[in-house]
Amino acid sequence: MKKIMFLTGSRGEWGYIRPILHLIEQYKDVDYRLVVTNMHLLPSYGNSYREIENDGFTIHYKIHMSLEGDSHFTMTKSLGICLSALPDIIGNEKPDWLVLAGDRGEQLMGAIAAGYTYTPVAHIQAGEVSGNIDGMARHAIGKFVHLHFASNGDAKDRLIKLGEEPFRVYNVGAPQLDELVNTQYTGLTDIENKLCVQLRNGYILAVMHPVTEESSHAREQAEIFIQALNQFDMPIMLIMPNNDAGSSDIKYAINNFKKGDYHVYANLKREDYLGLLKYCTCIVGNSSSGLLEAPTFRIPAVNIGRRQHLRYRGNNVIDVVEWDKDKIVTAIEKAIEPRFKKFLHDNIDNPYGDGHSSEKILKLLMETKIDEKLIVKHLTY
Amino acid sequence: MNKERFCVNTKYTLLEVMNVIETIRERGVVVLGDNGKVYGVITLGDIIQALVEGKTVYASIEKLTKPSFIYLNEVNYRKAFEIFQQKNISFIPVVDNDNYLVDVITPRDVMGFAVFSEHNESAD
Repeated sequence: MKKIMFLTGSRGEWGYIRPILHLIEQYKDVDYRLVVTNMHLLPSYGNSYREIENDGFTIHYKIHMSLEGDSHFTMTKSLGICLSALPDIIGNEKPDWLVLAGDRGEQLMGAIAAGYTYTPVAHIQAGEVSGNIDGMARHAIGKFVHLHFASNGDAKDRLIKLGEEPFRVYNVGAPQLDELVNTQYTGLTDIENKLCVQLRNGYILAVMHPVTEESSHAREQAEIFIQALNQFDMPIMLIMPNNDAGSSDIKYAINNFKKGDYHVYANLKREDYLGLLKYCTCIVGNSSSGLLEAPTFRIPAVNIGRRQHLRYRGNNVIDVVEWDKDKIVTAIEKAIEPRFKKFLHDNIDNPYGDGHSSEKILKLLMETKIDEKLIVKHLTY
Repeated sequence: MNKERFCVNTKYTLLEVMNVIETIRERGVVVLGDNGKVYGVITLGDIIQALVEGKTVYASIEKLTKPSFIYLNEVNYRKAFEIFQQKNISFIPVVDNDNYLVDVITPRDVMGFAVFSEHNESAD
């Protein structure tokens, strides 16, 4: 019996992991351990660990790590708390694999804990470029892990160029697309009933997270973002930011500058979020879901600022480099034009895969031989 | 108008909010920021949950306030009636376009409206 441990701290990572856990439940020769931390355990972020439990999964360990303060210092110290808890959990469970996902700091702590305890560790969404400190965390994770699950050819090539041995690197696509392809999202009527909002005449899905290097500008950027959204006479379904440094400034701007038909959510069930993405007129902000998930639904994405800088993207993405209200408004106007929608309908493939990643990842975890060649890493350059 | 009864500020403590809820005999209140704009809602359930999770009664409600809540843009008792039928909620804030609280509708207001309407129809 193989034992695979997963670490998740945010709703984003949960989207990567959940399809794999569903798959594991179908097999008798593999079991899982789930370690939940950071935003999942915060009431102000909706206590999303309950969503995990409601999905029928067992949470084996909870690591409360988040210090209040919303600064670079509290964020860093919070990561230290996470790191101090992980070796004991790993030592106690002795998993065959620790599986990490994405680019958040707690995932880097998982990589360090597994790397230094010589526990086999694999990384989903490896090798991509993104423009935040998270992007640096992703590549730091890459140095510790034994198996890289890249979600596109570009990321696979980058990992190899960065000195990773080719036998460790696989292009498996992005597993969060599996649920989209398998129609595991809430239908429009159900969303309308659940949220008590009339959405069938169109709406904007808005998601803005802080850019940690620019956290001192977060309030100003968020005000520009909200003022731009205020120009559109349609419901705005707005998701509150993650808890990185600068998040309280974004919340301040949301609470103080929104004008119009806004509906604000700290945390939505993933299938509800995917339903909102599936049926929206466009997604606006700096969330990776505009790049990763929106193309599968042929949804235009207005991507603002540097948070997703240089990340691989499809032709659904309209980039706005500067936080400039008029430029954001112009980009949204382009995104909601029927002509652009028609263009996407005829011209889009998701560069992050076909929605069958979970099978490929689980197969590799089950079949990869764990030996000295795997555990002792060498950089090729 | 229920507006004044239902309002608390983000700086309130759990204890202060519990006292307001007890006084107005409702299941929750609307939380306003310092500038009077609507910040969210907090219910008795949220307070119990916070206490169970180890918060003291002197904790600020700011981070416990839920930004997501069902609201109306105008006082519309028929729409409110439909929402009360569908959802297990006990009050509906009415929020204007600038995010200021206009009123709060309770099931009692809807019943009052229904009785008033029926009375008027009978009189016709």
